[in-house]
Formats: sequence, structure tokens, C-alpha cells
Amino acid sequence: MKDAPLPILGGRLSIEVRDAKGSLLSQSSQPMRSYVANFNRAVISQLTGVAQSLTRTTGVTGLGAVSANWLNNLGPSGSGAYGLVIGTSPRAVVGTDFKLGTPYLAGGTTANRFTYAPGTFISETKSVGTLTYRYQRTMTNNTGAALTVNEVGFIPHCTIGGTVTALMLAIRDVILPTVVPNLSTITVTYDLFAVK
Amino acid sequence: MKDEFLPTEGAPLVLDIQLRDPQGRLVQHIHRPSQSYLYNFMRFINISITPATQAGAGSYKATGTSGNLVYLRPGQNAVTGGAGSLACLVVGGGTNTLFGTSFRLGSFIYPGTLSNNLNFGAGAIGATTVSAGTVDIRYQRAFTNNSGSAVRVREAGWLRRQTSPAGAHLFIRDLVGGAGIRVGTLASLTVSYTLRTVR
Repeated sequence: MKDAPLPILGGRLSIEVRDAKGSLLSQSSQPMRSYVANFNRAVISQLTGVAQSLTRTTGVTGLGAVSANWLNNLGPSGSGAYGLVIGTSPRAVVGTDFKLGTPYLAGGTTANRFTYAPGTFISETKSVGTLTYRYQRTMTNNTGAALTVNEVGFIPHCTIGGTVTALMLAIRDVILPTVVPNLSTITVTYDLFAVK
Repeated sequence: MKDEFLPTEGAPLVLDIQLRDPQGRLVQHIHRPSQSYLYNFMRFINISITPATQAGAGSYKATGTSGNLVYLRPGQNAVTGGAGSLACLVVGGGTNTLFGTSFRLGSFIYPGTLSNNLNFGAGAIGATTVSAGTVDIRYQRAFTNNSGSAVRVREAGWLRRQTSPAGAHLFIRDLVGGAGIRVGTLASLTVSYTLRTVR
């Protein structure tokens, strides 16, 4: 008899690369393994209403508590600073990570940059004992040269103390090296789910 | 503590319950995976990521009415698990079946010294522990029986309470199983949930 799945707050990360005509070039999917310490602290702060110290992507720690919009924003058009983001560092994830290893910034045709579309909420899917939310963002390579993506993350744009905005890494995943040719797109999809 | 029963990815939750007699001796100890993240919890994660579009849709208050789940601000709009507060980590006496859609405990045990009450201590958040493959953060609360007669605890859970708009939403529920835990007069129960993320 197959054991019932253990209850977890889980996730799955899927990556698709398509050429300028929309043809699929590569596809991969893996368990999301990398909620980092900021995520735990933010969740417990939101569950209790008690301030928890967080580390911003700048490395500054202990500025206050997570507040409204604590995971807010999947990333607006043209910004690679937050939301669902990608980078080039293959360095292994550690629980204390507070930023991507080497993020790809947003920058049109500038070398080593991607053009970021807005991150979007895709769907809610309910089944017996499981509720899944899907989030997605697409980035386009317009630099004239191929770029390799090795890491994916989620950097919330949150409010601290009700007024101060801050960026803090909540999720980071290292993926197999994924080449994105010039004029091609990479689409990052996170399925976050709770299992009873 | 290393928990061999936990999955190797995602964010499992660990439930720990310790019953001690009035002299502080350990009488009963339960340590196992939590049985649930309820749908309310996942909806809370989602409204936190996309607050403008989701606004608590589909969430259920402990009263059974729908909606109005919002994010908290420390010191604002939040009812913390202070001493005597029916918020955060709670216990109950119900045994009805657990579903993902559960929105209340089967039967709450209320704070106080009346019959079938327990004195709720203040909840406390432990330090974040980061090891090679995991990050742990624990929330713990003690309950003491000053009611004058035994109280039986059959379930534990997490009730997140907000003030504006007012509402309490059940995020987590666990059945103790068996006959539950008999908390004798002046005995104490310490319950903790550890949120663990695994790489």
C-alpha cells in the first residue's frame, strides 16, 4: 500500500525555453527545495503578528518586522530586482541566503541582461487534500548573445514597519545550466501547494 | 532533533506535545509530523503574494462565514498569542474528521479556570536554527489545568486572529489520536509547532 503523502508546504519549479517563434527548445521540472530562513521568519511573523528580523538583499539585517504585503509582488515589467528572478550563479543554496548569487538585471539589449515581463498569478487548483497556486514570469534575451541561467529565486517587495519598502529573498533554487539563445525566452513557473 | 519521518523537500511542520505532572515530570510525549496545512493556510500564502487580486477569496473564518483574510502588521491588526489569548496555538477536545477545508477545531478548549478550561500561557517564538539542510523556527505555548478537574485534549491547531476586519481563521489542525491526552489538575501541557524548510 502506498503511504499517504506527508503534509507539507511544497513547491515545484518548472523551466521552459522557447525560441523567437515560440517553439520549445528545452523544458525541465524539479521539486522546489529552497525556502530560505527569511521565509520561515516571515511566515511566523505573519502567523503571530510578532516582529521578526529579516535580511534584505543588501545584506542589512534586523531592520524590523515583516509587515503588510510581506510576499507582495511577482515583479513588474522591466524590473529584475524583485519578484520571480533569475541569475547565473550555480553556487549551492544555503539556508542563510539573502540574495541570488549573481542576478541577471533587467536591461533590454545591454549585455548580460534580460528583458523582464511582469510576473503573474496563473491559477488556483483544488483537489482532495491539496491546494495549488501557480505563479509565472517570462524573461527574454535581446542581448545578441546566448545567456545561461543557473539559479531562480523569489524576492518579495515587502513593507517593513508599515512604511519602509524592502527586498528580501524568500526562495532560491539552483537549476541545471539552461541556455537561452538570443531572442529566445525563458519562462519560470512555481507551483506552491499545501498537502493535508 | 533529527526527524527521520519528515520529507526531504518543501516545508513540513512538526508537532510536539509534552504533558508534565504538577511536579514537572514528563508523563506523555508526542512528536510527529503535523497532519495538516489547511486550505486557509495556502490561501494566506497566496494573498500575501498577490494581495491585489486575491484578497482572501475562498478563506473561511472559524465561524464558518467566508472571506476577509488579510495580512497582519506587527502591533497592528494582529492578535498575538499572549497569556489568556485564544489566538495562535490552541487546543481542543473534538475528534471529528480532519479535512483540508476544515475551518475550526472540533471543540475549542477556552482559556480560564472554569470547568474544561485551561490557563493559556503566552506563546513564544524560538530562535531560527539553520543547519546544513534545514531551517527551523518553533512556536511554543504552555497550557496549565487550574480548572479543578481533568481536561482531555484531543486536538491542536493554529488559529490566526486579526482585528481589522475582525476574524479568526484556522490554518492548522491536528488530531492527537486515541483517547487524547488527559491533563490532570495542576498538570501542564506544552505544545509546539516547528516550521521546517528542507533543501
